Amino acid sequence: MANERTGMDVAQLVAEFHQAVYRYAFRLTGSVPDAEDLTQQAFLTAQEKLGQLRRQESAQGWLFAILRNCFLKARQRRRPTAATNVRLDMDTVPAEMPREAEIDRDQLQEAIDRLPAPFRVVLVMFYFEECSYRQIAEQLDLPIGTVMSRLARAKRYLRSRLFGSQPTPARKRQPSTAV
Amino acid sequence: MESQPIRDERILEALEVCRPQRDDLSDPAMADLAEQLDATPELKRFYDHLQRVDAELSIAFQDVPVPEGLAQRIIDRLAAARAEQAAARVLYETSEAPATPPAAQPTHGSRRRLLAVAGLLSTTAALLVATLVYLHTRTTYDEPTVLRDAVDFFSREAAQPGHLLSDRDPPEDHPISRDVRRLPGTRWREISGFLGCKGLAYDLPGHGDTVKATLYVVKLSVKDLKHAAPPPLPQRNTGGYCSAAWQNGRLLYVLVVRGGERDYDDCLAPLGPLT
Repeated sequence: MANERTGMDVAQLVAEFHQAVYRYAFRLTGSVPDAEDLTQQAFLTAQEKLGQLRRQESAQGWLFAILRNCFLKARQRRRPTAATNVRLDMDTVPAEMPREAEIDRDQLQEAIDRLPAPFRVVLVMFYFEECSYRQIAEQLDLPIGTVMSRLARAKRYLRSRLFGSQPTPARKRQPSTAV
Repeated sequence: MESQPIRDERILEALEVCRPQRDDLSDPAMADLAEQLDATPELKRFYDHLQRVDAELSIAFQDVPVPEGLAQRIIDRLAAARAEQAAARVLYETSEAPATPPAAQPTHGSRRRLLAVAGLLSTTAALLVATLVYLHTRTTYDEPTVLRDAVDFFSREAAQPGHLLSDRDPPEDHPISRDVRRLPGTRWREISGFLGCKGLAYDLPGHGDTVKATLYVVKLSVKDLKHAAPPPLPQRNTGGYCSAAWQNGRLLYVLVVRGGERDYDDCLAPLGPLT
């Protein structure tokens, strides 16, 4: 059944957005079966709530929001990861510009997987959805300061895992900080 | 002259989260950062460098291969959910709706009779629908359907503890297959709604608290099922799941495994010495 406002039905949503939704799900979950489960769950929810979609242009963002909620709800049911497990190095911007091909995809996902879910979500929203920090705060209904702090720490952690600690022109070494 | 390290965490955070192409720099919250960037060329170079790293990372984040046939599996799952809802609605309506419009101001006796008749009719209707659904599902399973539905069932199941096989024996009428490896920590539990049947599920443990595979055992005969034991390779391997089905007398065994062929093989009992 099609949405009256957008004229879109769920089959169209699947055809148009299943790849983007799956990629997003994979970045959040880190495994193929879990990503597929999460993708299917998101589309099941979309099917139930299709009437809530206001505009065709916002369909992808709407699906991403459903996906995030499904992911966070599922994570809440599991044992929480201790945030203090993640140690961040403050000085982790590589001196040399990494080429796109040099970013190891497995290493990237491994680094994302090590982040606690609240940090992972803001990181994926920033890099995958290319949201601004204000958009992230609005969509997650979090204070801007919280988003800035989580995002900055998650980004530094990601770089530390991918590129290691290297000196940079503007920063000197500082002690590591725990999340 | 060597630059001084930036120690103001607010500036460092702003530096990380600010995206110039989104006009974040004109945001009042970024005023301090904008001021620092204007005043410190080295910080500006660092910032520009960070933006390029972020752009490369954004590209890398998008680089995820999508499994083949995903769209069709989603469509199938959505159709199954719609069918389930429709069946549930029919059952609900037949059991809830009065058999006849209520007469105006019935007496207590006639109301009781009306309720009894309505109850009888709705129960009969519900049983009829359930029987039709049951007969339909029992007679239309073939091997591909079994494998697909089993993976679907497996992926939808919430984690359930079950009984440790080492602590408590399962009911004898649904035994675990001798061809499946009895891993320490294997658990069994009762299931319903698997291919329309009740039966047992044996959960093979993975890392931590996870389940890496489940063997479903139900009393069901499946048309044209070729195997009497698990085949050496899974009959279905897609979307991160492997599955195989075999018929042993009246019992249908379906093994669903997270992962690929190697994971599937890990779940099978090792073959004895060839004689």
